[in-house]
Amino acid sequence: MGRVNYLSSLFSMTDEQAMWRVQTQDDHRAFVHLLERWEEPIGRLCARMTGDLHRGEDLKQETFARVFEKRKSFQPNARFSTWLWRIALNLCYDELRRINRRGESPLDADENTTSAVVREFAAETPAPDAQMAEREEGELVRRALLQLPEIYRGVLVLRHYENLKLREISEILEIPEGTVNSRLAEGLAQLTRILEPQFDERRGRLNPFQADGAADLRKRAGKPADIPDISAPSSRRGLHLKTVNL
Amino acid sequence: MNHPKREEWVPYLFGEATPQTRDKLTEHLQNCPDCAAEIAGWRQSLDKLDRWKLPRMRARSAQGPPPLLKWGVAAALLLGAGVGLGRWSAPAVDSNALRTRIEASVKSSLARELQRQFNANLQNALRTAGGQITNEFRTQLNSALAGVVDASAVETQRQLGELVQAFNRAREEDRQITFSWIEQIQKQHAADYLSLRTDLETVASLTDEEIRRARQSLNRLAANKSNSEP
Repeated sequence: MGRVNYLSSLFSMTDEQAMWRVQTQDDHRAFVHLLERWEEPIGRLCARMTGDLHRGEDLKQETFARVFEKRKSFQPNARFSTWLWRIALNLCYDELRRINRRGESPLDADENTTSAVVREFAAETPAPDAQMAEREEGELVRRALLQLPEIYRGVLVLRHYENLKLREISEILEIPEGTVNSRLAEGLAQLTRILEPQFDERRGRLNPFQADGAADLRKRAGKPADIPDISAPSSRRGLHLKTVNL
Repeated sequence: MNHPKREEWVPYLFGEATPQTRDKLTEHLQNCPDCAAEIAGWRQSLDKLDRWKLPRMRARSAQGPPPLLKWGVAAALLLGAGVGLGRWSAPAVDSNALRTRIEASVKSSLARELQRQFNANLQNALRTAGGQITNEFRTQLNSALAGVVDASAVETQRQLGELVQAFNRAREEDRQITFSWIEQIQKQHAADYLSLRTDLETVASLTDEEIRRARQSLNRLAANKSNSEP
């Protein structure tokens, strides 16, 4: 009975209460509770930051290991989620630096991506054509995000995929909200400049009779002078043709 | 026209702008094709971001079939589907090629799953083996320690005994030395006493002689005086 009470109290517990138990009593059930509540979003963040599912999985585990390691340094008046996102994001940055030093390119569609593709394929296969197209576009997006500088990728992932408020992001990154906004603006501008031509080209290839309006819009929009031109090198242009090779 | 700064569009785009700002920016968009084009591009980019889907990465929980089984089932289903499709749709579809492709990828992921499973098992086994080894080591260590403690107790006893004996011996020696000293001192005392006594006796006899002589001279003096006075 006591166990049931304990479990139900775990269920209604806030993250901060659970973290308090972990902090003061090394309560492993409270820790498992936090893990179950947060492993999905943290795993997504890490996978999106590194562009790699397996690496994301590893980083997720490292994040929770770090949380337990640093449990004593969690401030009781802080928000658990803010602290957790910060730890995960910093680990992602560290990992990306390591990758850069080793000179690996996470852009390469490796076997990990193939396995993810297989998994999706195994799960549901309604309309192969549409799915194939969507996967190709997904791969374009993955690559485009990886081309962005990390600080822009970070804010985009937190705001768009994880739906965090701008204020929360500024707390996680410990920067003013105005800086978050300008990073998001810069990130969106760069992303648009990478993705727009690629998607236009794809659509043109898939449906040559349909003229695209986006290119006109782009021409009219003009480019702000302070942004360096980082449009993809020509060698990368054809990549999406061969990325999905199930 | 006075264009808003780029970062001002961000809260607007994500639905976090205050109502006044929102109205102001909406009005600007209606009148400014440049900004409208740029913001439309951003919106499209945000839509495109959703094309990158991640598979659900729920960690394998304790319940539910183990991943290997799941993959086995998926592989069987896929193979079955592939073969069925190939048979059914006759010559147009190259079922063999399809199957080999699917087989290859399924095999590779199966191999990976197997590897992971194997690793997990190995780690478990290592952990339990590690536990056993630790226990064994602990008991051995305990018994060894107990032996050492016993041995050291015996040794301590023996050494203590020796110490006591040595101590007693030393005390005995001490006592003897003290006795001899005391004896010596007593002898000395006796000798001193004797010599003192003879000295005293000499002094006494000398004094006696002196007194007698003094008395004689006194008597002589008295006789002389009475002779001279009539």
